[in-house]
Amino acid sequence: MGRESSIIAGGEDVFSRRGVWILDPRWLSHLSAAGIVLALALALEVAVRSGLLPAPSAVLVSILMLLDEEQLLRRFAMTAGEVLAGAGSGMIIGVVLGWLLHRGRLIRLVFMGWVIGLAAAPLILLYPLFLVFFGRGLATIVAMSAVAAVTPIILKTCEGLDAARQVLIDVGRSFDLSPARLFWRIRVPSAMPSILSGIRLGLAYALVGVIGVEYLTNFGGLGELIADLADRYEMAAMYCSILFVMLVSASFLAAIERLERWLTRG
Amino acid sequence: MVLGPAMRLRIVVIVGFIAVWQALGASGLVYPGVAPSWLAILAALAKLLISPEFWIGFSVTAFEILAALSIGAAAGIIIGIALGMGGYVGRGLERYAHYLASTPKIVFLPLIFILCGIGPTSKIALGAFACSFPLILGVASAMRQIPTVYLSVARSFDLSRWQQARMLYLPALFRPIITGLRIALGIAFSACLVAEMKFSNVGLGSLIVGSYEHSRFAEVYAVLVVIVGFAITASAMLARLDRQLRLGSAKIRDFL
Repeated sequence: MGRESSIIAGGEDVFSRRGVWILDPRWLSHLSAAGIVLALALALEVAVRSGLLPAPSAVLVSILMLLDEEQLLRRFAMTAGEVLAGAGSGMIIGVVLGWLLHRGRLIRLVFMGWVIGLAAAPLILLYPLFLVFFGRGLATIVAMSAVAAVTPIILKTCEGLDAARQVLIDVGRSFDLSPARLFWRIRVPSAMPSILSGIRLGLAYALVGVIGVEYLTNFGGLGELIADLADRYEMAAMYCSILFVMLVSASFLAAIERLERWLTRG
Repeated sequence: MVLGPAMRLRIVVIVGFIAVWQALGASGLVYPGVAPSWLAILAALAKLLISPEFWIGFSVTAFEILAALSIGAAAGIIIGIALGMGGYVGRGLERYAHYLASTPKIVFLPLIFILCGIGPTSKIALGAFACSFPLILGVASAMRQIPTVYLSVARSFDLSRWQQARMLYLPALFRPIITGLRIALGIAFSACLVAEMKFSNVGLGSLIVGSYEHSRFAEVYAVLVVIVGFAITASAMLARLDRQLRLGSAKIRDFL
C-alpha cells in the first residue's frame, strides 16, 4: 500500500510511460475504480433479490417509463433552462458588481464584508421569501439560482481584476495606454482565468440551487420529479431519477471544467 | 465620535434599504403582509426570542448540525486518508468523489427518509453525507502532495506507522482539515435546515415553514434573521480560527 502511493506521488513520469494499454497505470486506475463500483452494484443486486430494495436492473429499466410517462427529457430541458437563465443573470450581475468592488475603494470598504458574509450564508433557506415575492413559478427558481451563482462570481471577478501583475501594468503605462485600454488589454485578460473559475463555481451552485428548490417546492423539472416519485412511493423510478440527476450534474461539471481549460489554454 | 466615510455610507445604505422596504410594504405593489414593516419584524423577533418553542427548535437544530458535522468530518477524514493512500484504486475512486461532490445532495433525501425515518436522524444523515465531501477531497489531495522524499526519509529511518502518522501525515493534513471543516460547517448547516423544511415537526426549519404556511411573514423574517446571522457568525469565527492557525503554523515553520 505504502509503496504504491509513493510511486504515484513520485510524479507523472510513471503515468506517461508507454506500454500495453491495459497495464497503463491510468487505465488500471479507471478499471479498478469501475470494478469496485460494479462489485458494489452486484452486491446490491444480491441484497435486492432477497427483497430489501428495488433491483438495480429494475431501476435501470424504469428509465423507459420515465421517458415515456414522466417526460424526462422535457423536465431535463426545463431544469437546464432554469440553470442557464439563473447562472446567466448571476454572471452579468456578478461581473458588474465584482468590477465595482475592484474599482471603488469606498464601495469595497463598505460592501466587501457583506458580500463575503452572504457567500457564507445558507441562501437556499430564503426560498420561502422568494415564493412570497415571485410566486410559485419559474421566476422563483431562476431568481434563487441567480442568487446562488452570484456571490462566487462577484468575489472571483474582483480578485482577478485586483491580481493583475504590476509589471504588466507598468509595461502598459510605459506604452502610454489610456486607462480604458489598460483595463481592456491588460487587466481583463489577466483576470480571465479567475473570472472563469468564478463562473464555473456559479454554474455548479446554480444547478444545486435549482434542483434543491424544485425538490422543496414540488415545482419545475428534475427536482420535482424526484419529490413526486417519492410521494407516490415508486421506488425503482425514484432511484432511477436520482441516478439520472447524478449523471447529469457530473457530466455538467465535467463539461464546464473542460470548457474552462479550453478557454484558458494559450 | 467621528464616523469614517465607509461607516457613514454603510448607515446610509441600511437606512435607505429600510425606507425602500417600508415604502414597498405600504405601496400595495406586493401581496399584503409580504413586506411587513421592520417594527413588526423586530416585534416578531423579540417574541420569538422569549418563546420556549424557539429555543427547543434552536437546540434540536444546533444538535443536528453539530452531530452531522462531527460524523461527516470524521468519516470524510478517514475516507480521504484511505483514498490518498489507496494507489490506483484510490485515484480512480477520488474521481467519482469529485463528481459526486458536485451533485445536489438533496436528491438523496427521499432515500434517507426511507432509511432513517423522518426524525432528527434523517437530518443528521443528510448533513453528514453532504459535509463529508470537502474533507474527503481536501484530505485526499493533501495526502498526495506530501513530497516523496519525506516518505523515503521516513522509511529509511524505519519509523513506525504511528510515528509516520504523527510526524508526517498529521502536520501535512492539519491545514486542509481546518479549511475543510469551515466549508463542511456551511454545508451541514444548509443540509440540516433544508431537510427540516422539507419534512419535520421540530427545529428551526419547521418553524419557518409553519409560519410561512400560516402567512405570518414577520415571523418568517425573524427566524431567517436568526439563522442567517448565526450562520454568518459561525463561519466568520471559523475563518478567523483558520487564519490564526495558518499564522501560527507559519511561525512554527519559521522557528524550525
